[in-house]
Amino acid sequence: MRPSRTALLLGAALAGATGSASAQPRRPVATTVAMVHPTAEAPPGWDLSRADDVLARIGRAATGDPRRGALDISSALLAGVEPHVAAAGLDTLGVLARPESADTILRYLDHRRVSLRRRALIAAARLHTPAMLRAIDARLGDSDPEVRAEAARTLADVADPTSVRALWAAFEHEAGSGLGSEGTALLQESARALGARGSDQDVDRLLTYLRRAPFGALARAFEASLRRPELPNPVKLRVVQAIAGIATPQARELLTRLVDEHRGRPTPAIDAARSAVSRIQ
Amino acid sequence: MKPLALALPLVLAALGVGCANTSISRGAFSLSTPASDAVVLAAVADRVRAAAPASLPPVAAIVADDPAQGLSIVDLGTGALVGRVQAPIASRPVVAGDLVVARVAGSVVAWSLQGAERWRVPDEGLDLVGASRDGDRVALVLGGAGVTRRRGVVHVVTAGDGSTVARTEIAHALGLPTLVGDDVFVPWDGQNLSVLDARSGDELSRVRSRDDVVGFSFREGHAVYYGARALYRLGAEAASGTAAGTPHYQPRPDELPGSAPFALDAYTSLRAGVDARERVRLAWRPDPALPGVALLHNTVFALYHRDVFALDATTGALRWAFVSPHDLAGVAVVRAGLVVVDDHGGASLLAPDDGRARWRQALPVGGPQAVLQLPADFAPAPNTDDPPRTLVESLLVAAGGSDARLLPAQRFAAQRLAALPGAPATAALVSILTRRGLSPELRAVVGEGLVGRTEGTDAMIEALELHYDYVRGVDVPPVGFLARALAAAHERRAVSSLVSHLFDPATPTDDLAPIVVALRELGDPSSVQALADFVRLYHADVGAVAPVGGGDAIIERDITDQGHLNAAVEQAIETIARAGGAPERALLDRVRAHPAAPETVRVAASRVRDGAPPEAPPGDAAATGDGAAPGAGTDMTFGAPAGRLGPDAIDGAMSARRPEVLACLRNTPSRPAQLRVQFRYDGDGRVSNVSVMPAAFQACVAPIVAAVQLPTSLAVRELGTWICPTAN
Repeated sequence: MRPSRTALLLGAALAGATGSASAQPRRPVATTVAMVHPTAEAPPGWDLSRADDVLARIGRAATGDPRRGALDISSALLAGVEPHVAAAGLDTLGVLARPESADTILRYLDHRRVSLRRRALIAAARLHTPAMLRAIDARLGDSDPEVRAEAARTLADVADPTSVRALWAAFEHEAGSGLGSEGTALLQESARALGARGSDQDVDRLLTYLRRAPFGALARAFEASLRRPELPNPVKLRVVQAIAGIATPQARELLTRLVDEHRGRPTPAIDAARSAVSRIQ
Repeated sequence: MKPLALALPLVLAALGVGCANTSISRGAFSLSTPASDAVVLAAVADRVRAAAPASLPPVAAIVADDPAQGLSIVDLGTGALVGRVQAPIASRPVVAGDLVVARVAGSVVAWSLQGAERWRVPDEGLDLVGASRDGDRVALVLGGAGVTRRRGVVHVVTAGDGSTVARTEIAHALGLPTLVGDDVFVPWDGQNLSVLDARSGDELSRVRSRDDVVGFSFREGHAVYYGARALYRLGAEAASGTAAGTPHYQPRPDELPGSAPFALDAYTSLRAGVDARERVRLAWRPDPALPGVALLHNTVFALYHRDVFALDATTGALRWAFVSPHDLAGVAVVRAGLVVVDDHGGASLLAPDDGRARWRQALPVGGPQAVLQLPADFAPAPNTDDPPRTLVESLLVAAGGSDARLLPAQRFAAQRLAALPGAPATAALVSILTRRGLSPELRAVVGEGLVGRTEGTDAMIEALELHYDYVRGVDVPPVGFLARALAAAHERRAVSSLVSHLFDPATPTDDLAPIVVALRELGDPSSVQALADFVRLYHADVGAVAPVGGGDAIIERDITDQGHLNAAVEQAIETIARAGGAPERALLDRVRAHPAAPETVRVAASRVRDGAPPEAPPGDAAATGDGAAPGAGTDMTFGAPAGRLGPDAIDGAMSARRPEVLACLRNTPSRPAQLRVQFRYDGDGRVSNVSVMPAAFQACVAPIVAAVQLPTSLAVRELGTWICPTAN
């Protein structure tokens, strides 16, 4: 039997978790896996049929030993709990950000409930392993628009260049979908993620979508780009000049916001923005 | 009508026989006139045989998009425009030799093929039923309001100037006439075919059918044919008045797209322009050179708007399918194949053996209605060489497309595809099933067609490897059907993909139970752990959850989805109990004690832990959708009711009321081969919104069907169809 997609991701997640702990003394792989693998059975003393009790234990686990807490919560969630309990558990796993919770988070990334998938995405972003990033990338293609947007949002937060290709795929899929001046939630979030985390070339590529994609989504991307301290000034200047070039009220509004935001911190891009604002009627 | 005293000597003179040999002793169309005997009818047939058929120019009369703008006449041999008629056409035109005849504002008008008006006669307030030309005369029949509207006129006029030769007005419904020499053949009242003297209007002989319907007559070569639901050749045997005693072709009672009748109702005139009856019908042509009654190519062509299906006239086997890029405005069968003209002016000759176009011609005009007059030996020179296409390939095309009107044809193509053996047919079914925007009805037909196929499972497995991806534009494969089909084919290679889909949130909830059942059927031990994980994850997955970011908790799953999910968990529990080890059985203990688990899930866990056999719901065979009896070699039964009812389940429930439904058809002038009943049903098996085709039986049949109690299911509001054959 070929391994399922979930099993592949799980294996990769475990490898990622091991990788993230590379500063630790090297140990046999089997031992490491056994150590981080939750049991899919109720942790000792947990009665999973009593939701209030489980919620209380999740709360205590969040404030105790993070590794133990992550393992206990992960085991409880894999053993099966009511959905509101699972929601609390996933929120806590996100806060704990422990590799021991990797397979539980992967499992819940495929849960049938949208609210639990979104929570799993947030928790996955906190783990920030390559496997988790690939799993988040995959959720850009989710059947639910909220989950897709959440995936793009989390990719913007985790700031990993390996996700840029997936973000471009999502952005370009949505760029032609219309929906007025704002575009879909996925377009907005993927544009913002690309603006915030993309390379110089990615920002230049975003500029080519002016007049071709909803401006509201691109505005989010450019705002994020112009706030990046590490982005070279020439790139920022190109962004401002391109926005100034379309000379619409929306462009003027965006440039005005940039000028206001950077008041007292002149740069060539902000100077150009100020000049454009005075020019655009 | 002429007085009897004048008619009788003329009849005797025309027949040239003594009183002993004539059966006509009363007036034309008299109800008391007996049918003719074999000698008389043999003499009539001899006259037809001896008459030389006139040469027919191969033309098409193409009605304008707006029939008020008239029609155009095109020579199909050259593709040239021959003439135009600019008059508001009110009836489907008839091409009668070198004349085109149609009803126009109070008159029946005849034009030359060049469009010049030759003559007109009053329409007498009646529609044009038909016209037939032979020699220097034209026989017109007026009426056309249906077989129950009993008023008609037979008007024989001179072809050159329209002057009256004979005219008979009667209180009977008249069908399509045929003129051969001095004989006018006129069907009437659905039961008779009278032969009138074209010169006087007197009745010379009569065929009376005692067990069939007579609506049309036409001449083909040296023979006259008649019939309505079957095709008879006029001869001495017709004197028997029975189908059994008369050589005839009886069309097969196959279900065809749109339930196309063998011939259109000849007593009801067709409209000018688009008339749906012309778009859904059968095309055929008898071969008078063969003994008895046989069709050219032994083929019946079933038309459905843009589609043509060629069927063996004897066996009903499908030979090929053809899909025109545009609606078909007119067709005609010739020895070289089938000539089709579409409403954009495209003409093609389709080869009779494989349906490939051998000749194409762009006509100078197009229109919604093309009336073709083609001699049987019309054979344009081949000018195209389309690549050969298998039956599977042609059916794949016919089952696809986005034209919602073609659903019945698509369904027919899919059903025929499902009946074909071999891997290519399986691959084609999978290809259809994975198309975007496939209608639920077609999806069900194709999906059910896959179940039970054992050849070509590679295509099913390949389809199952796809997962929904919004960005890449990949749709959810039809997992439920594929699971059932692969389980039936004992295809263990599918296990990992099935497990993968079990945990894919894009998998439709109603596909989960079939996946679980398929995993159980396939019996791969590796799936038990996955099923246990599934039970763990979803056995208590009930209730509301606060959205991300806070706010009031919301219930994300409707009651139907929850029911489907519970059914899947229940099935997984059954499987674990059968194949699982101690850890899995311990899981069942936890499930049955969990207060938040749905009752059906807890009950299932308790049942299997107590060692009771799996529970089958009432109407189990129906719930499986395949009508299999419990224990009949399949374990694809569901512990919970099915999401929708299969055709067999519907048929099983409906058939009990079939006698009452058939009673609605008694004493009707035209008995359809089947009734098509569509309705809605809910999970409790209640039937509503009943629609019956033909619509004439709606009032009688709908209340009977609405009272039927179907098996229970998880359906919320599903569309159901019942085909009720009407043959005894």
